[in-house]
Amino acid sequence: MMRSVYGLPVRSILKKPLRSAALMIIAAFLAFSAFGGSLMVMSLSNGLESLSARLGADIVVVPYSAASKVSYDSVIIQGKPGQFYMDAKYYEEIKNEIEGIDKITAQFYLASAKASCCSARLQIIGFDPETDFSVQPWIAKSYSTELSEYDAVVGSDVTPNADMTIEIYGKTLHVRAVLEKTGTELDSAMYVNTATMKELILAHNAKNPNQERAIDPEKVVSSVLIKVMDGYDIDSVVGNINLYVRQVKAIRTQNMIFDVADSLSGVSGMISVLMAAVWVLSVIIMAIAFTMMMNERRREFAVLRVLGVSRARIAGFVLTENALVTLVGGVCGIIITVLLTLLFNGLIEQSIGLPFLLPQPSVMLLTALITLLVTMAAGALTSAVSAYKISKIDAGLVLRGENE
Amino acid sequence: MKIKTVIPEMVMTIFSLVILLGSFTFFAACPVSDEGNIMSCHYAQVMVTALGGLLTVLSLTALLVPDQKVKGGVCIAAAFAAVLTALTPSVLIPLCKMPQMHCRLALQPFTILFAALTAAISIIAAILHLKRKKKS
Repeated sequence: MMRSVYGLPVRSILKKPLRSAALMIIAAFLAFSAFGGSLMVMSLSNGLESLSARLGADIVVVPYSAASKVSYDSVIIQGKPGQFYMDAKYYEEIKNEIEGIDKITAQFYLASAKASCCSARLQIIGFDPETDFSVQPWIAKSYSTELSEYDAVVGSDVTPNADMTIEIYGKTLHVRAVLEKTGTELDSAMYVNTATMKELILAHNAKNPNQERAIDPEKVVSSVLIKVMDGYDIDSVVGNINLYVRQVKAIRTQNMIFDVADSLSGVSGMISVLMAAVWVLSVIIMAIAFTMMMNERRREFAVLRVLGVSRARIAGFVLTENALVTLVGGVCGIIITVLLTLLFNGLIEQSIGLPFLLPQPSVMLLTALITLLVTMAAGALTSAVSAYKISKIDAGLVLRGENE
Repeated sequence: MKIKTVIPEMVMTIFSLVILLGSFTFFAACPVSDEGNIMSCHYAQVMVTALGGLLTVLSLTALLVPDQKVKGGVCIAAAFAAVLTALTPSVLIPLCKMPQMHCRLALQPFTILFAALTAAISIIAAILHLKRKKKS
């Protein structure tokens, strides 16, 4: 008889599938909210890290008109399609007249109308290979050779033609490498050197003869990126540029990232509060459901006591049943979360409009295991009181119906 | 008719309705451009909506018909329709090339997820009904 008692938790779960399924759904919900919430918070923080690691510059200088007209920070930091230009003489002015500059480089932005690869606008970023310190170290991870004319490196979301080319404004570019995912719109950007960029701007002008003002690629730049020399205060350099160079606006990149970080911490905070609320509610519901179920089964346990099953074993039986239910529910919750996250991470990224980069599979696996343990611990906690009460029942009274 | 015996058909009907309604609302393909250009993903969306309608009709038939053999047959047909639905975006009808387009981010994963679930439940329901038929 004793041996058959060992299989009781499993038999009890299988015998009452609806009751077990209800408890499993609550456990799945617990795991889903904990794992999903953690993945969201981790992905947002990963996105921010990849963002700040990529930029590499201390200061960004943009045309003053851009600072008021367009969301220049989203163009520079997140790679959203957009373009603005300033006279190239400001680049020379900053380079020659401002003190404390260690490295300085200019970039060009061009939001293409439509490329052969894509049904949406493609952000083209032009950099000067001789002075660049922002794009090349990042590109080097995927492509270490210098880009020649009509060569391009593209973000992870840009799909070149089968022969690794992309046609833009009638020009054919050779795609040399596809970059790692950053979780930002830079994943759908394309990087070319200044010479290629100038050709593309000329082709763009030719395709758009009616545009208000043709862009002269020899005379304009979009932004200037600056790395400040050690020993110089970044804020002073920013102040000097804003004071002595007209028609431009210098911004400390850290401040631009702070803006993104602010929205990010707001979203993360909201997710954490929701996660906590869901957990508290689910644990309360689970505790109530489990207590009610145990009360309904008092006679069953009383019979077991009469048959000679010890109080400790009955308590163990209750705890094992709950552990099995939360284990199955927790695993289901985790599988659902993984499925939804992998299938819809692009949509989540687009909807929240913030950098979103899923953690490495090993980190996801570790988080899933921790979630499962925490869910099972929460389940054990809710059943511990019931297990204690059930183990203390007076079998005689219950079976006579005097202690219902 | 015991509620317990038609749970798979009820779930099938809910999922089919989700496919039908979601395919042209929250999880629609890319919008038609201002210039009136219609991308191929639009036709994929129309096809998914049509198949979603078919799945709803099949699921409701399986839910309401009393004969176990007919229920089983309808569930098998629903499973095939669900597989076709899952294959529609991208395999049967091409979507936009760029992974960041709405059709690739929303319509494709949504259709694959719900159509795969509907197919799995339809197969389970078909097996259950054909087994019940054998027993009776």
